[in-house]
Amino acid sequence: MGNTRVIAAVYGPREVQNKGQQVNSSEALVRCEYRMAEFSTGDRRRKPKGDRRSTEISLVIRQTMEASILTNLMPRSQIDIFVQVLQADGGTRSACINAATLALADAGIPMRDIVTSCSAGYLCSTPLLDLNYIEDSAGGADVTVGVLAKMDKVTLLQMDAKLPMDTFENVMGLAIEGCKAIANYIREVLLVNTKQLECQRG
Amino acid sequence: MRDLHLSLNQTQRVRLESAFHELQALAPAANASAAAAVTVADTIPVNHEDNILKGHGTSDQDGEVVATLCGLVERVNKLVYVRTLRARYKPEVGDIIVGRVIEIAPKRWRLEINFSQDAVLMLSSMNLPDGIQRRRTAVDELNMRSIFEENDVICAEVRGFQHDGSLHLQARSQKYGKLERGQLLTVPAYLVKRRKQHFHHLEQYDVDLILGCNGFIWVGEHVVVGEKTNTTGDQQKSSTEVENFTPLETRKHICRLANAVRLLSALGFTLTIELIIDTAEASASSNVEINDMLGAEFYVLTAEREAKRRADLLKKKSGSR
Repeated sequence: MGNTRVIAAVYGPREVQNKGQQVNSSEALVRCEYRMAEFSTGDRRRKPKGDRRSTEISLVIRQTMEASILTNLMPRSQIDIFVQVLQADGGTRSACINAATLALADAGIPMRDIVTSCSAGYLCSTPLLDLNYIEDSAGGADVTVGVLAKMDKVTLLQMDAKLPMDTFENVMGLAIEGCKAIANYIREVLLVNTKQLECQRG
Repeated sequence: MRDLHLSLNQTQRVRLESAFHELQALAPAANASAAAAVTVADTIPVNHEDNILKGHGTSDQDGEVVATLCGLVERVNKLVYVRTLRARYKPEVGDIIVGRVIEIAPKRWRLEINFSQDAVLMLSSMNLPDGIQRRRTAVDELNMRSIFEENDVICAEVRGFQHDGSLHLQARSQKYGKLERGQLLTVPAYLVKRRKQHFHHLEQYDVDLILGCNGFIWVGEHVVVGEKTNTTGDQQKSSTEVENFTPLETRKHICRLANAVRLLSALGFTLTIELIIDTAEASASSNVEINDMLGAEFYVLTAEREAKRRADLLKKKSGSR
């Protein structure tokens, strides 16, 4: 998405590695880990993994994807999602969710719907879609929305700063439109890829 | 081009593009029943008047049949389901699989196969080394490690499913059991189709090729089936080990066949024994070095040859009609 580049890897469904974590044996366990590469931001990061922001974003992505994966079809197994940010220019959370959706669809894990995410903000009395790093650090509001594209349901909603209610509705509407556009694009890419694999297989 | 990192120069890239284009052009002509590709949350066109059975990969949302997976829609009489491509292996009873031992548990071995859970091989589903049919005692249980250890590669057959979805295997025949002196290759499971024969003995190379349905492929030195049982007596074993090492020619053939499998799986072509032998022979006849088989030039050559082969097959089929 612009200059933000992320890479997502999905492992599974496979045997649960840590039996202590398996709470519900009739469902699959979904684990997610978000990392930023040290070279992804302007200044080299010192602690790419254990810090609070990464843990929070890992939890957020896990909850978003878990809402969409049909976990009861794969009991007693584990799905690992690893997302790493290679180049960060604002909207890394959204890019990670989109990448994770693509990876899950490619891995053949059954999902209710395509989850897409987009961020929007409000600067100089205009709603802006998909803020980059400079716009984000300008101090305006930043709304991140994740939707199930076809079912039209919101699975993720996060906001920094404050916004009056009607402005918020505008900004959120704009973000949802952005999500739908991304969902169309993802769907096309997946279709082309599936057709190509089938042709090559013969 | 998934697992091989190739740097193609401009002409090679152009040739590869044209080969893939040809394959794509051939594909809809080859499939008489064009299966529609579908992604997650696409509606599957269905005649609502029939009682359609919703199979794997579909779900019911607001009375419409919606896909939950990315793949192709298959229809068999009243059943509609979505067949995925790069997903996990879907086991069926009687499949021949190749797996690796991960853990030894009480009275069983746990194997890793390309499935959502580990498969279980019970001690009682395995022939004892001395070949006698008897009850497994506590001594047998303590000696499990002498039969299979961790990280051993085993060939077995799917016996059935447990209530929690895990697989049970059995290895009661002489042709199943531990596999030695060879290479284990992992390919996506959808490239191995179920056939009548999964054990192939290639006489001209003296090599055994086992195409496991789970996508694990074993290429190894040929072992005569009767000699698979362990010899009792340590002295005999150590002396035979010193003498029998695989000759260099056989090892070269094993590497050539293994590279052919790697190449074909990176290209995404269905693995059949004829195609593997064909590719290996083509590389030998054009004097490609074994390690160059995974290089850019041979990659492009193989794609072009496959496009030609499928075009010829199609012509033959339409010509004979």
